[in-house]
Amino acid sequence: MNNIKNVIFPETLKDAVSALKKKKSFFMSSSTFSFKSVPEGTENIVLAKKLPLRYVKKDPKNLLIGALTTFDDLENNPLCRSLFSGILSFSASRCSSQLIRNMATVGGNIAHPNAFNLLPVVLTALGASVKVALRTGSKTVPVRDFYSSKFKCGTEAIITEIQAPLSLAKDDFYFEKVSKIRSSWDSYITVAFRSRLRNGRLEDLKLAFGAITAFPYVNEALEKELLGAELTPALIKSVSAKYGEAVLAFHPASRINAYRAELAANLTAFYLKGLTEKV
Amino acid sequence: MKNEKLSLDKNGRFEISLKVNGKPLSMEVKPSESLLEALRKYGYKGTKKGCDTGDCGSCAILMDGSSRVSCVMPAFLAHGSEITTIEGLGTVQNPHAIQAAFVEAGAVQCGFCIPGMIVSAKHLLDRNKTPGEGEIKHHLDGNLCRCTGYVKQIEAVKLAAKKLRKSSK
Repeated sequence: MNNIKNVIFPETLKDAVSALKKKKSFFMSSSTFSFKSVPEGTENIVLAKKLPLRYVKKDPKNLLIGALTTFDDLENNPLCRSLFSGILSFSASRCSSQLIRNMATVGGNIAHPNAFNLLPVVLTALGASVKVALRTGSKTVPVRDFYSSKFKCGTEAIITEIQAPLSLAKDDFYFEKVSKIRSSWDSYITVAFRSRLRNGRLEDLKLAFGAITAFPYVNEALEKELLGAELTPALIKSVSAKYGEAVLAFHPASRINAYRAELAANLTAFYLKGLTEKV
Repeated sequence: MKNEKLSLDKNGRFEISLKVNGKPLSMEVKPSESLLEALRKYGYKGTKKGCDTGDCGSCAILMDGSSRVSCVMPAFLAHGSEITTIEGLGTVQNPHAIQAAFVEAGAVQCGFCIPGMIVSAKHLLDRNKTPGEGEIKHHLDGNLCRCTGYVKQIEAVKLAAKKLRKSSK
């Protein structure tokens, strides 16, 4: 932080992207973790404060969330409370303490990969996309691709909006965060699940796990085992156990990870058993 | 339109303009200085330095009406904002209803966490005059107290809500 020479307050996205062209520039939103996240040698801070990116609204296809929307906004917004079974609102309420929820932004939570960030997990389950402003215009990428090598962008990219498809808004959703205390930022595990049943079988499914790797953990092979199949107790037991094994494989020697693996298996089984009761 | 920009002066400081407790103030701050450090340097010592990592809430202030931790926030980020510290709520002679309620309810022991707790309670009661116990707990979940165990403080917020409802009638 000691090398910072300028702080710029752009009022438009175009100005913000342009200000980031300067070498040794860094984009900052709410400052929740600014002292830790500013790279060494940064000379110019481009502050998001005045950008018009704090909103929650709908268009015909998506729920649109501006990148400067805070967790407190998400928690209390009527659209977030009503759509997607309220998972956005409920998960936001489980993010850290009120003092942090008043500051932390949607964009910041997505931009800085961390195992304990809640939103990437929830947005993965929601099949959401991230809209990014670039020097050359804008681009929209699925959250999953945002964290993969499929998506490449320079440091001048700015997350502007989240788009959650309304076509999935009536699916079944489940969120759980297991942490030492309720206001913890970190957790043993975070899960966000989405599914849709048709004729007693899973037509669509996304099981996303947080607190395991820096990015949300999704196992597409195990999801395929469940899709279209009848949810028998044997299948639930087998797939849940495989999720536990997969999570344990990340850090097999860690006692905390053994607990995480147990939670992953139990929460998966709990959710899938709940679905069978809805059939 | 030209964008607003802060640049370091020859002493390696930014000059930021903000309002603190309703009064316009110009502060000279280092790039690495937190808002908490800057406020205390300028005499607003009611805002306490506890964990310095945003976990304990003793440094809570109101920024543009919303409660935040000031220890993890660079001071330059407050440029152009309105800040309210505990000093801006009331005085010993003329305490704010929330301050009076904390005293009446016996919610203060060592007192270190209380400014942050009162600031958080102010934000809650500004937007909800009739909070339930669950809402109070949820809103004050980032304010840690190592003395009393929270029961009295929750009672104090309920009492403050009652006082504020009465005074607004």
